[in-house]
Amino acid sequence: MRYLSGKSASDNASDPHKLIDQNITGILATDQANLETILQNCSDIVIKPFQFGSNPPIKGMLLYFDGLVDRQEVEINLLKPLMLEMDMLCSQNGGLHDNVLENVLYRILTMADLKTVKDYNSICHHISSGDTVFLIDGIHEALVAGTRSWKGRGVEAPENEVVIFGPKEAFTETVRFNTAMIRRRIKSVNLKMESYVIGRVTKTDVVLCYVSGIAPPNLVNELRSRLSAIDTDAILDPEYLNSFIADTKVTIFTQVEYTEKPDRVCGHLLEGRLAVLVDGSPTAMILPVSFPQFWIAAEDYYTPFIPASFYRMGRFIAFLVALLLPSLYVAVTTYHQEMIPTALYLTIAATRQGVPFPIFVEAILMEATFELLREAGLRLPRAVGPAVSIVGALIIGDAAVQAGLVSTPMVVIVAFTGIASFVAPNYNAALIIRIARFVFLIAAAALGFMGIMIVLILMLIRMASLSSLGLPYLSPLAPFNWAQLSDIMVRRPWYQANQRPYMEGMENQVRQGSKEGQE
Amino acid sequence: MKLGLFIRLLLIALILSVCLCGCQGVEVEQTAIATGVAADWDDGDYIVSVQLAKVATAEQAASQEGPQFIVLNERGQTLTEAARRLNLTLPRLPRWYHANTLLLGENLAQQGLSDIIDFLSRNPNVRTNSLLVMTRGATPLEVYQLDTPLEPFSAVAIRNILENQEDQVGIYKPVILADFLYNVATPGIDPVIPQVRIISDHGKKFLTIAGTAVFRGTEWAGELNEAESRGFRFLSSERIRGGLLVVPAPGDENRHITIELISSQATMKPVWKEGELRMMVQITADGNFYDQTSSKTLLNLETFRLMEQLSADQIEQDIKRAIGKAQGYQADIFGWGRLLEREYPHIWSQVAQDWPEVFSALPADIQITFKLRRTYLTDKSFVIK
Repeated sequence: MRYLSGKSASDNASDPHKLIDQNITGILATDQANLETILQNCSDIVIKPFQFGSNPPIKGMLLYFDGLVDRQEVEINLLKPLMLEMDMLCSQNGGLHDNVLENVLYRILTMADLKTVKDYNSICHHISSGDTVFLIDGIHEALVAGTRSWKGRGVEAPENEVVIFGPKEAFTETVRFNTAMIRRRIKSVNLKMESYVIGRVTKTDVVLCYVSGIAPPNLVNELRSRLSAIDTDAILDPEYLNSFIADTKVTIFTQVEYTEKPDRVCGHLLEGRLAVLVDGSPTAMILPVSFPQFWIAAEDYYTPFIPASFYRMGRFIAFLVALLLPSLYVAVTTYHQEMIPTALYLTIAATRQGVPFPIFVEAILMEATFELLREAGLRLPRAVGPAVSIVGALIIGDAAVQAGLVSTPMVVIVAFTGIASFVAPNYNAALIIRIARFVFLIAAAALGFMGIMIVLILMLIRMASLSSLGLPYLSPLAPFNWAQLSDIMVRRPWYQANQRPYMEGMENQVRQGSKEGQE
Repeated sequence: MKLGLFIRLLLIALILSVCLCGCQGVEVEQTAIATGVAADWDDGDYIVSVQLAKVATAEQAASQEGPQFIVLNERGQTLTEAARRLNLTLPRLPRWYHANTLLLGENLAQQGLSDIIDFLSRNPNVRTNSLLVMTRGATPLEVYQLDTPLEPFSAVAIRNILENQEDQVGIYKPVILADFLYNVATPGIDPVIPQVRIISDHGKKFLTIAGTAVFRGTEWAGELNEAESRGFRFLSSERIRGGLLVVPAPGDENRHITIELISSQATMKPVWKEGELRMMVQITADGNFYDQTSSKTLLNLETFRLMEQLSADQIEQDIKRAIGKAQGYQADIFGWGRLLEREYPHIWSQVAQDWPEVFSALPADIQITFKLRRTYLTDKSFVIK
């Protein structure tokens, strides 16, 4: 640190960190020198001094970061009117040198998105965001033209939340496109999008979306204050925010929902929840959410309610299977052998002949292998993917049994559990069960059913103590609410869904069918 | 800080509980499963026999030669000693919780059941819902060693036979250990156990259920034959379902018709009237006409009533035989003493002391209501031209 702060006081003027807080001097040469100091070693900056008007010509300077701006727009809408049409204006009216800024702002430039700033800091922020900054000699303000345009990924089908029915577009990395995708679905001025800039270095655009009149105002205020309180260097993804704003921070239970589907975000917004979009991330964060909601797939709402309800109930069973099946198997075969039908007992005993490990070790081995395979499969380049699944299925499944390392029932159990854990529509929820499963396994090996019950109770106690932005994490199970539970266990048909799921502070719970609900 | 301390203590307690837990888990492949357990008595020693299933998958079992089980036998001065001594010859830990047949040897039963009841009620390895069966004319060892047709394990075969016959023929009532222990322990009711026998046909041996052993308290009293066992079943306190009634055809003594019993409910009540104790036995039974051995048209309103009457008579006959036999043995297998205790506690306290004598002389008024409900789809008999 010493050699940094050891600079003499006279060098202060050329210290970029000090310089950036100063205001525009109004003398173009000085400003240019200062800005060049501030922006030194930024090879992608374009600084173009030019002259416009005549008698005498006015000096100006254009700044932008290459790659972030629409060059054509800069040329056609900024440079061309200034350098060509200013002459015409001057010759018609004459003597417009007196108030150059107003003339430029209101009469010459044909762009709509224009504003002025006064200090270097704002200039730097705007050019970093893709705007073009225009300085005029003798003026203490700089013109900012919205010329943001960069090569981004187009709108594609969601990769992680695959649906058969329903909208098939996913968020991209540009927050403005994402807000547009939401706005296109909710054509109401009540859809509010509050903008925050978070991150001292990254200056990331964060957008808080809610539907005013539906979202409880206390929740909006609470989230606003939590977002404003964040003081950090960088925000690259909503999870950065989540770790700052979560009600309980050290827990495996995620208290927000992530989705890449705009329609799902809209569904949540219309039920009064809030969404947070972060520039640079194709994931939206939704809160408050409760644990049972993680088992609701977006597609449920696009399929007829009877099949949707059927598969939703199936999903809850799959949840229990994914969480408990291996530990139940270990507990039953180690402690509660009287529960196994005799024929199955004989089969298990026969297949276990010669297996060198206890059932618990076998289970841990297989579960760990499966998790490794899954993790490897995620990161693999597409071309290698099939190879890994073949190795996984054949070597691990078949050869391990042939070699007598594991027994066949265990392979069946692990495979079934693996399939069941993929049923969870929410990736983060699936992660929770994957971790919890190992805890249950250890408990089952230690204490049998009693161990499973102990861990289950501890887990429920923990979950019941959590909340997501004040919403109890297990609601509507605890606190129990029958009316809402009927929309969690099954999918209510839309004509019956007269009320929105209740949240504390909600003022307008009526969705349809009653006069009070109409706005 | 306090919460952190609490969590840490909780974690320590949890980790310690892993090392401290009482019951040790046993890996499946280190155990041997008993499909049947038996107790017998011979020459001053108790004998425990177990039928152990050989460990095999269904595929291996199909290709295996010889029986799929082994039977072990061990003597001891107590039953537990005999059972534990099995470990002297067996390299695996025998587990009894899959054994749902419990055989009692004839010798042991005639010796008296008091010796074994303590063992059966105390031992946690014995399932209280296992079926209790007594061997007759054979030792349990012989029964377990028998290679039964179709079913690889004779212990399972006995259970299946007992359960199927109740539904299809309706003669014997399966007795589970819990009920047996309850009946032994309760004053005013005596236990029964169905008997299994080995029969021989052209050199091939089979198992069959034959008769019901009757006990007076824990002492062996005698046995009921088929008809008496059927009568006893009609007198059981819970509703019975399934079974057959073969009654003479109306108007033709030599031919018979079959009535299938749907359900039957016995209501028994002691009545104290003018210093005399009587048992009121009411039976309400439903049945279906099943078949006939003649081609006469039987199904008209007149014969219908007649058939109902004949069926009721048949039931009454069986019941009377059962009551007569039980009273002869002085064994209150119907639980009338218990009913009396409920209805007239003061009388029961007077007669409890010599209840067997009182029971053997107790008159019973039997009233039977039999309803013929359906005739299935065929109403007229097949006419041969």
